[in-house]
Amino acid sequence: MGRYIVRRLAQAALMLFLLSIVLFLLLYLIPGGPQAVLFNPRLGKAARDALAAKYGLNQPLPLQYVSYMQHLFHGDLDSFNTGRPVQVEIGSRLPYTMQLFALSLTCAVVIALLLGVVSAIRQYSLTDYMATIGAYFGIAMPIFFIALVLQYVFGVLLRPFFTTVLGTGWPVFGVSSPEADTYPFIWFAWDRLLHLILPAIALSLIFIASWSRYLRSSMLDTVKQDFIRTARAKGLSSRTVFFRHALGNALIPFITVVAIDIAGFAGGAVVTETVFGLPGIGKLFYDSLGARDYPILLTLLLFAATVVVLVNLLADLLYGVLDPRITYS
Amino acid sequence: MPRLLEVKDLQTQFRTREGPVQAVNGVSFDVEEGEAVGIVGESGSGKSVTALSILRLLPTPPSQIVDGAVFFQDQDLVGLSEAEMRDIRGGQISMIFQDPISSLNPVMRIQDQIVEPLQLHLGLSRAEALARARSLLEAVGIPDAERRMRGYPHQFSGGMRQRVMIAIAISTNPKLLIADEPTTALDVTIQAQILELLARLRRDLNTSLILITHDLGVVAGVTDRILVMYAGHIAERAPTEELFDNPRHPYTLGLLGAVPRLAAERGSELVTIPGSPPDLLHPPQGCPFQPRCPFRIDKCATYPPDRKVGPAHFSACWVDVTDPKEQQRAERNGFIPIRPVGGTSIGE
Amino acid sequence: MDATQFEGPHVTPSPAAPLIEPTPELARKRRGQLRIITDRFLRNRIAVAGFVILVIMGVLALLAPVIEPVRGQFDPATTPNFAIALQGPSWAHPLGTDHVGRDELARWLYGARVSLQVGLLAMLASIFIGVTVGALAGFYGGWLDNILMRTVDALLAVPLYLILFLLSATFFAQGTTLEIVLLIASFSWLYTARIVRSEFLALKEREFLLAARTLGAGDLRLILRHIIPNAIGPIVVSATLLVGNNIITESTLSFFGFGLQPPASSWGVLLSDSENYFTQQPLLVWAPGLAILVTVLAFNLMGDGLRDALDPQMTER
Repeated sequence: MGRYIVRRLAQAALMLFLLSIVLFLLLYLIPGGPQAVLFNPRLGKAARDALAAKYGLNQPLPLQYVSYMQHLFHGDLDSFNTGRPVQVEIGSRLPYTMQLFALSLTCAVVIALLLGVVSAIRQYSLTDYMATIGAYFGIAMPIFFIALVLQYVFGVLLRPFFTTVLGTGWPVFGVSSPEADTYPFIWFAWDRLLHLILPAIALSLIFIASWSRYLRSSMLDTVKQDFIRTARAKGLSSRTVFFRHALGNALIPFITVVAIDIAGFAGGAVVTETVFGLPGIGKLFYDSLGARDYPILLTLLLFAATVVVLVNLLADLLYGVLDPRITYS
Repeated sequence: MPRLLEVKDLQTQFRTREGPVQAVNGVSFDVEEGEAVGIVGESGSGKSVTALSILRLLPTPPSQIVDGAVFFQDQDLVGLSEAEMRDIRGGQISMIFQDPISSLNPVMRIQDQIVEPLQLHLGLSRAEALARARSLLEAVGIPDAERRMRGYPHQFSGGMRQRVMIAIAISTNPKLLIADEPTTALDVTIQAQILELLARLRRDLNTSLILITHDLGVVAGVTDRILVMYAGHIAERAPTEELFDNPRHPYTLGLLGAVPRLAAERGSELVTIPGSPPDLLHPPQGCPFQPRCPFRIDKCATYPPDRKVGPAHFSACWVDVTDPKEQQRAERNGFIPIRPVGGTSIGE
Repeated sequence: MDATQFEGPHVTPSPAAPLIEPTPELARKRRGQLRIITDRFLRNRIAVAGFVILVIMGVLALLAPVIEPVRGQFDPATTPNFAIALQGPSWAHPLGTDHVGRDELARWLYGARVSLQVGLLAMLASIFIGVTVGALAGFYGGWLDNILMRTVDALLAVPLYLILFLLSATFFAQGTTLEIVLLIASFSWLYTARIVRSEFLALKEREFLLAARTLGAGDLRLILRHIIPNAIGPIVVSATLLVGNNIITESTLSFFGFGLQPPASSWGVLLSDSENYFTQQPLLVWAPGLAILVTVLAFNLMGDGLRDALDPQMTER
């Protein structure tokens, strides 16, 4: 097992290394790359050379890559835009994204589990039909459109309702109320949570839809297996058959599906944060695109890829722990 | 001997998109206490559906017991509630399935799968159940049971897994054991061991047995009586030796002819029954075997009654297949006669 | 194999079993696999509904240049008329007008053209890439398989919208239809490649391939004539689902300004334009938004219907 982990980590590192080279070349070679941004034609040659030298853009590409990586790991790779190290920029935005992720992912997994199991147990029931229809709709909408509709419904249509009941409108933009810093902590936290709810719905809806469908069909497949008939022939109650025998088997592939979708989740976070004005790393990415802040962009891409790769590695390991048929060798 | 199980005019249907399929069509038989009964037939004859109907293990829908009764110790199982049925399953009647590879939960330890019925039906504590599980595994011939019961199914061979299945089935000392093709998925060398184990355990525990198979060779040494099923009906039923010595239904004759080893031994060509089992969606009028039957006569358009042809020997056929004239007629229809052989010689 | 393992009622003899006289059912089977699949698909009313919706959408999109002159709304994308900006629905403008006074219905119809076009063209491109990569990896295996599939893994590790936004902001900055198609296709072939590869791996071991090889068929012929036709089911299903996904991707890119650039109009561009006018003229958002929803839904329903029709065992769920 130890050796397996080491091997997988080495593979992941190699893959990320190659990916970093590809992404670096992609960013720095293509027209409209850093040079175009920095080499503003209105600058004099001396000024341009100075800028190029400052960011190492006058060196050959391989050296630029090496120096990029060196700076990145030394923590002094600076944003074009703010001049602060990328780690600082990303680090200051990361908590917002982590909060959004934590809330959305938890909601998505829990609700998808519930819906999937209920739809499978009560196949062809009203709940099952509603979940099926809901899932089809959830998968067919772009995240940004869900976000817009949520903002419209909560911010416009339901506004009279919220102002009567809550005394204030439901927050549909930003991360906190303007004067939230002066609130006592519990209210501050509550205010933040309130701001996160709509983004979390927008981000998790599509994943709830597809994961619950997956779990449903995986449960229904499992229920047809012979060992389920064995369990029933023992006289076990259908509850025990379902939860001990069927769910145990159906959950294992579910983990892999969730892990695979983590990349999609990260992409969705960019969309959600931008539409809802949450200052997380998704929004940072979006803003850096406008500013052509290449160090930030490249670092964020690599960061996201690293997280995705690690999550998938983790899921593989978990799979091995849960499924005794998998052996690491 | 007192009667343990009485199946009366059992009819089980499957609803399909194309219409209802009558998988079991009026099957009646008894099993006495301590008796072993074989149900033999080709795949699709309804023998497994009969077994699953007894335990009501078929998913409803699409399948449904539309008529008939299954009396177990004078209690009609068809009318029981699901909760009452659960007490019967695994406690009073146990079942062993065909494919031991897929019949055990792949992500659950062997011991946990054996312990389940023990805790459920015998009310044992987990420690007691584990102890019993170990002795059960030893009883079915699993070496090093203490260690191996903590393993998972994939670490066992097919034969070993079937032994585990048998251990689970006998764990609660059931009155009746139903074994559905228990050896079909196994290597030939393992088959005999498993059959021998089943026969021995059955004798030791005085459990009744219903052994379902497509292979007459399997039932020969194990069962007291045999039912031959065809297309949802019982074609012939007789004590085992009597059936082998004196088969009276054309279909049974075909089956006996199709036992490959015997045919090869005699140097004659391998006999198979021409044609295929009927499409149960559109069953033929009258006797379902008549399209394939060399003894076919006009009367076969109406379903034949259960004729008593000997002591405890019944055959659902209009024709007396022992009549030389009928045999000559059948030979002209392509029937290859076989010399009836003793049941005991087949079991070896 | 039947997962239930019941030795079920004998409805239709399997063609593989010997001693079988051809029943009418079997004869029908031999007559035309396509007929059967079509029959099964047509019996699935929801999938047919999806198909009908798509036909209607397609007709509307194709006829946009015909409908618009009749309605008197020429060149809808480029003729602003601020005097009538943000009007509600009327006979002249059934969907109202946008923030610069263009007829929304005209933009919607032309938007349908572009959205469907991008979705379909990007699908064709990604199916081409996906099938090629999947076929090479699955057929040859070994180091080629390893390299190709690790590449797929690596690309899947990069969040889709991040890389698309980035490439769109830099490399594909013109925002022409062709650029967007290439951009979307360059990342949407990954799952198709995986599916095709696994189909190839499964089919490679089958006897008919050995037979074809023995008869002297070359690799290319084996792949094109023997394997792909047998793997066509999953390919068709994944193609159908891809179109819907591509439409969503295009709309997202365009919404954030990384997709088609004005004056082109797609449903995503319409949403991007009218995002700020949701309160004033909700129809400006609903019309393109629901169009995306309905179209993608229709593609997904049709894709699922095709899957069921091609793989009858799945329908029993």
